[in-house]
Amino acid sequence: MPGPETAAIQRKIALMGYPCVGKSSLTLRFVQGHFPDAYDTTIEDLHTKLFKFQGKPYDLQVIDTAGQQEYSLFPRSCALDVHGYILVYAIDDRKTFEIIQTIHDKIMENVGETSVPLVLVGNKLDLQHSSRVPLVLVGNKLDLQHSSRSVSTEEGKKLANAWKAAFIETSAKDNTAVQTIFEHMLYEIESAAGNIQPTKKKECRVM
Amino acid sequence: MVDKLSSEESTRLLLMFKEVTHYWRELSRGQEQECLALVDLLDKTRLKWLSAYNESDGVKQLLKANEDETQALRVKLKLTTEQLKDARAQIASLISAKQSVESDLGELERKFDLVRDLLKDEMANLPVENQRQLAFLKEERRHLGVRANGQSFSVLDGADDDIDYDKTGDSMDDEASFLRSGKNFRPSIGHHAASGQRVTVAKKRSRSKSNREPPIAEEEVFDGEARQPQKRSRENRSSGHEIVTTTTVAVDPSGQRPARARVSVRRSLNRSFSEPRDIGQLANVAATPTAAPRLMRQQQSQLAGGTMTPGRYHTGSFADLRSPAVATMVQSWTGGTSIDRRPHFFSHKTTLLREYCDVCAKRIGFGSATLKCADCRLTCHEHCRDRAPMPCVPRQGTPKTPGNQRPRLLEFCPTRPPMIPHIIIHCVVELERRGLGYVGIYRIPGSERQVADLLQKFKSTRGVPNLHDMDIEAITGCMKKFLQELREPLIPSTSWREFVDAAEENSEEKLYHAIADLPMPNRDTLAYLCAHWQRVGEMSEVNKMPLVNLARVLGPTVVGYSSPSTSDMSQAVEEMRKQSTVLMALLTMPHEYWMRYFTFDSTIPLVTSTSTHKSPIFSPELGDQSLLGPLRTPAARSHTASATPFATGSLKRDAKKTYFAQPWK
Repeated sequence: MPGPETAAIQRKIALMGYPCVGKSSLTLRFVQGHFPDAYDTTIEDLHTKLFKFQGKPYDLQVIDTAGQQEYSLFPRSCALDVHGYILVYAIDDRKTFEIIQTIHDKIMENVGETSVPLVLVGNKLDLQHSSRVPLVLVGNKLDLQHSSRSVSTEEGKKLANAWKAAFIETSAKDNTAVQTIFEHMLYEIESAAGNIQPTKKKECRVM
Repeated sequence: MVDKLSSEESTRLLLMFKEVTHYWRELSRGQEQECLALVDLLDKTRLKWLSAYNESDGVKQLLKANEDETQALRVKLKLTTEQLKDARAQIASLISAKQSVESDLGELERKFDLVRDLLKDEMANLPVENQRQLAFLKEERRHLGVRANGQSFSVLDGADDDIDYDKTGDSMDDEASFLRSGKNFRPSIGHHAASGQRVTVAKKRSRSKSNREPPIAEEEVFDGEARQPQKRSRENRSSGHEIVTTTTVAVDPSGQRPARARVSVRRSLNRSFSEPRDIGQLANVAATPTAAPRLMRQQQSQLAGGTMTPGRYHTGSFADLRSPAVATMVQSWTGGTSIDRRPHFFSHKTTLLREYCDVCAKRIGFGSATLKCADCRLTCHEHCRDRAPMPCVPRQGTPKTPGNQRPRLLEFCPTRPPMIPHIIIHCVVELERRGLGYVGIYRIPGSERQVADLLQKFKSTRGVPNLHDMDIEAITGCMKKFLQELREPLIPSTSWREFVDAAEENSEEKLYHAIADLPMPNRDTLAYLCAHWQRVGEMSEVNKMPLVNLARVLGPTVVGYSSPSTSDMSQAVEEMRKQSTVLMALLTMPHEYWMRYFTFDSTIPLVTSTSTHKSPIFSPELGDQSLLGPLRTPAARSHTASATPFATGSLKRDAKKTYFAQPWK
């Protein structure tokens, strides 16, 4: 069996969501293992991390995107060869949950659009639509759930089911289930690619 | 034997057989050949088909390429047409502005004549000092006389002319370039005039002499001064590169010493005039030979006559800081107060039509007394006066842009400086009243519906929407949306490169130049917003939005892209980073610098920073000339010694004639 460095599978994952929901915090918690106290606006950052999933090494590229609407022209770097999307909202802010649906539509629109030229026979477009974009829906800021929760777990679950996406509630501050997001993500990616057989029980898990 | 061997019948059959065989042979042979021929033909046809197919493929590709090209050209055409339309509209508005200024001038001239006539008879009765102060009136008459004779000031006849055109002529020779409109013209008349009476500004005063020069010398001074603007107004926009001349004229109010003038030349980056530079144009109008001297003298007369109030004095001296021709001519609407306290100017009127109060939104009864502000057109009940939203920002009518075009910033601005749209001012005032401590101010976007509603209200209604109950993020969102919906961002794409270069090189001087080159509405609005954002940044302990964050959040809104239609995504991401770099550079500029653009308040020190400021433009060597000094590149600076107008020397009359023979139209 080859060494992990040479065999590492490259996967590109993008985090998207409304401003101030904690995309950068989740990324930094995952990649660097600490919770940044800063309140910096992101334009776009790329992080890499080696990660082991189901015994296989993965070379993860995590794109931390800008939440600001000013930067919201959907960059091609977020559409081309991105394997999966993590959509983040904050459970203490209803607006972020509502806007995530717009972002979802945008992803579908853009990913569909960019994939078309790759399919040579035009009438097989329907196949393109049937293939699922791997998604994980993340409700962040779980640490605030007792004080100011305004989006319930059930609502999140319902939305994720409608999209056939994985769902999880996390807290970057308390480091709750941050790793799990990426495990879910890889699971979604690999099962969408047909590399692993989907097992039923993994649908929704709430930590 | 034969007979025996075969019966007649069999012979006949035999013959028939023979015949049939023959036929069969014939037929079979012929068919084969025909078949072969047919096959050959088919083969050939197939080959032809193939070649034809290939050919058609090629042609199809060609067609597709051509179609693509046509499409691209069509898009380009559309863009160009748009630009053309825009340019036409701009030209029309400039022409109308020019006409109105001309009529204003006529009016002022008439008034001036009136004053002179009034004073003429009483001149002899006045004390000697006053007589001296009013001496200019006589000159005025002579000048007017000259003008009435139809002589243009462009005539290069007097010896004093040589002074002025010397440097410019030289630079023309050296660099074979053209001049651009002289918006950097900044005479220091205000200062010198004022210093004539106020010893506090003694710096410049030190040179004044007590002896009086003969009147003729005085006239020369004015002549020289009068003609200078003309040189600057000459321009050739069609040329790729331009040169900006900066002329600093210093005139003693009572003519006790000769005027000093200083010309510096700097090469500007090539840029188009995509944004209207109305005020720049006004400046040109003011700078035309007929207008400028009178304006200057007018101001002088006010100063000399002691009628200048302190507020106006500052307005006048403020002119030195930027385009003075404008400020001397067009008075600021703030009238010396700070923007957020600017009062309404109510006048009474009687309502005859159905009207609604802009304060309480109730109907104003038929024939009842109503107040209407002359500047912002706010209309309200008399008893609502105290609750009228403040401050008052003068308004133009509703923007006339057709619905399918994006509005221009100018359409929202007051016609007098500082040209800042009322939307921005009201939002900023409200934010500074209660929003500076809001966590994530400008970062957290408002709800889209609220933002759109608010902006619509601002644009369509006469009064000011009630901002007191609005979410902070809706107000910031409204400001951002307003700026984003403009036809061009505050820093238009034509200036984009200048700003990015300046920010990346961290060159303050370049940044100052780039800002000075902005159209007036853009510059004033940018200044107002930057000063506001700096105040927001000061509160970063509370609102968690230090300047870096603000620059990132607002960069795309303020700075925009290198071209109006950027399609390349990777380039766009690259440019986004530059946007925040530029805004960061702008936000780290001194707060006082930004304040100068829109504050004519006497509490802001105008003079003190001159010698101590470390920015290149405020360098001490220029301190005694004008506050911002002539803006120059180092190359131009090397000419400075010979650039003074009195350095007569290497005058080239031919060159002068070529460039200045015609008065600027």
